[in-house]
Amino acid sequence: MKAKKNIKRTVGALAAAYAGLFCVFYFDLDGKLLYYVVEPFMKRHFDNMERRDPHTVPYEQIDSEYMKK
Amino acid sequence: MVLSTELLGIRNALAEKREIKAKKAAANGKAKFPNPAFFRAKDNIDWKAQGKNLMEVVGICTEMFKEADHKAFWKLQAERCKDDLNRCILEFKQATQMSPEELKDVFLNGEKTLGKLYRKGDMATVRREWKGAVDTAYDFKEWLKMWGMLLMTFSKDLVPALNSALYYRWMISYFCCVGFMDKNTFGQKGSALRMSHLMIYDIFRYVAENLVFLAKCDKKNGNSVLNKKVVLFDEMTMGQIMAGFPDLVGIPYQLMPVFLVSEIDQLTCIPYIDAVESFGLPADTCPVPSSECGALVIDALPHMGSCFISSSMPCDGSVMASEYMSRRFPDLPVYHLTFPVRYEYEETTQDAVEDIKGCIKFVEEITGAKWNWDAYFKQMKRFNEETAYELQKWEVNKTDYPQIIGPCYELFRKWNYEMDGGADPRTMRTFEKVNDIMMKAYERREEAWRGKMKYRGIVWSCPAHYYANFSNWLANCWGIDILVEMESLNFTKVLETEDKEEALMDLARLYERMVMRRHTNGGYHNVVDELWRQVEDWRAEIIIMYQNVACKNMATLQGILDDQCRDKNYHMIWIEHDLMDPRTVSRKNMRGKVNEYMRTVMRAEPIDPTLEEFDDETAM
Ligand code: SF4
Repeated sequence: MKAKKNIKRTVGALAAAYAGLFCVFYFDLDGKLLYYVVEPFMKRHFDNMERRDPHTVPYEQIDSEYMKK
Repeated sequence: MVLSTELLGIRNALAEKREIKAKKAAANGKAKFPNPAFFRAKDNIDWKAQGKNLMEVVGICTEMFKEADHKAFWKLQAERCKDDLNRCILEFKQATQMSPEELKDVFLNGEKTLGKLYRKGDMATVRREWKGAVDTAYDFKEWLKMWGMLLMTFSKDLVPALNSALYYRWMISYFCCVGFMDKNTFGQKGSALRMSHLMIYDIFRYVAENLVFLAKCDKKNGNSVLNKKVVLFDEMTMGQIMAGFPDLVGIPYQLMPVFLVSEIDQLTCIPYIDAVESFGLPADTCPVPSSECGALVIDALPHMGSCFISSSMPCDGSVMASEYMSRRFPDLPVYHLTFPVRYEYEETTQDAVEDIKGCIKFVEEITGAKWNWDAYFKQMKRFNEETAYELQKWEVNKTDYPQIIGPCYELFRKWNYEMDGGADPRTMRTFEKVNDIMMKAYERREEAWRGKMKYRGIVWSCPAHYYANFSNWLANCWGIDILVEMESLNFTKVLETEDKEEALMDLARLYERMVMRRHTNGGYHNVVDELWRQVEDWRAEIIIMYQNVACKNMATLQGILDDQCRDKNYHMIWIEHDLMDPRTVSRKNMRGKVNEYMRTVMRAEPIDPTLEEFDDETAM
């Protein structure tokens, strides 16, 4: 009896996981999460990062200073 | 966490033991690919710096959370949900208006119009395509498999991979590769869908594994012992030379940060191009070398590797990119592999062989590895077999029942020819499976693009990276089925696998006919006469003639191609593009050229009118 219940529960859980994952797949929720949440966050992170700015380097310095840094 | 040097020492000792074990397995022909020791190699990760990195990210997260306009964010999400819901209701209503037969047809065979899957201004699709009960289930399985593979591969060494994802903008674009897989399989069903999934999976496995290597080797991540085994080569240089160095890893340096990612995400190369143009490079330079140089200017390439093999291929732009490379990383020894362009003069082949010998010697001296003829011949035998399978695909596609159409087929061919080159034994299995499915489908006389087989097409000249799935749209919207692309039609000779001198001659011949170079740099008869020969061979009705507005090689031929095409009475549609810069000619403009030609010259109606006009300017 208990084994039967366990089997039922496992099958139920698997079916629920399958249905959940299928919804993620079908409604492109993985894509939406990436595009609407991860992407704006990362964009901001990258924009905030301190990086060398090639535009601020005087032209005559470009070769010697910028590229070798 | 700071690991003590002793502990790191133990790890290295273990890694050495594992490497010896792997070498023994390789000697017995049981080697795993790629060598698992490469993934495990790790010696001096700066955990303190990693901790700092992580703290910085946590800081940004918190700051963002505090600063975010939560109201506006949730309002936008609610609007999107509402729009999704309205679409669901509309689709449900449409379904109720269908007759039971129509409904059954949609349930079993999938939806007929695909334009509704796009939403203006959105990067993601509204939902995935309903391909019919069986094919949607298959698509779902492949989606799970792809995510599983990506997660498993990155978990082989998560910390460097995460660090790189937080440092390099382009790494984030790879998160969207599952969406790229969808774009390439839109409208495909049955055998065609299965073959596409098999092929694209292999490419992404290669990408994921190499991304991990790239992250591990980057100096920012501690520069692991693996670095001593890494030979970088220009992304435009073929990978076959590494077949003779089985203990080393050959990585096409700019492939991940520039070349491949620009096919996944159309917006990736824009910062590179802008940076290098502000740096002084003329704006009419081909976006391939421009982007490579721009990536160096804005520090988008990892500092890694024991040496770099540069190249003059496919054209002079690569020479410029090599110059930038050696200026940026002066500590990296560079070997310039520069093959004669007039490759049809056999007298020049010996020069190319000398160049290859010099390159082998260079790698031996830098890395201490020894060229291994057995390993080289083994890989080339595999590559020959793969080429035979490729030729079989061509034979089938030349018949009245072509079976393998669409971007995955083209991408796979290019990747296999240029990058893999028989290195990965797992690819062989894919060739076998694809061949099996293809031959069965051919025997059943299946339609490769169900209900959409109207015109036999061929693609010529260099395609737009930012619209890698253009042939998919051509089939879905107008029923133009691309049987082959110029870039696939390369060297198919069986490579020598016994005589050492002749093997090097063949390797030189192969390199000289790399993707793009064979045609665009091969002179008049390799690109003009060859086109008419191929059009006849494949019995193509429509030629999709790409025109990279910055490709000087092809620009010189436009008038000649136009004149001869008119004389021969072929349908040729010119599609302008700017290879990696979608701002010059957008995807929509590219589609517009086809729409215009099909409506005015061919007087045709689209198979799927919803795909004639839609917005994907910001879509990945
Ligand atoms: S598109 Fe033209 S200019 Fe650009 S790399 Fe290819 S052959 Fe060279």
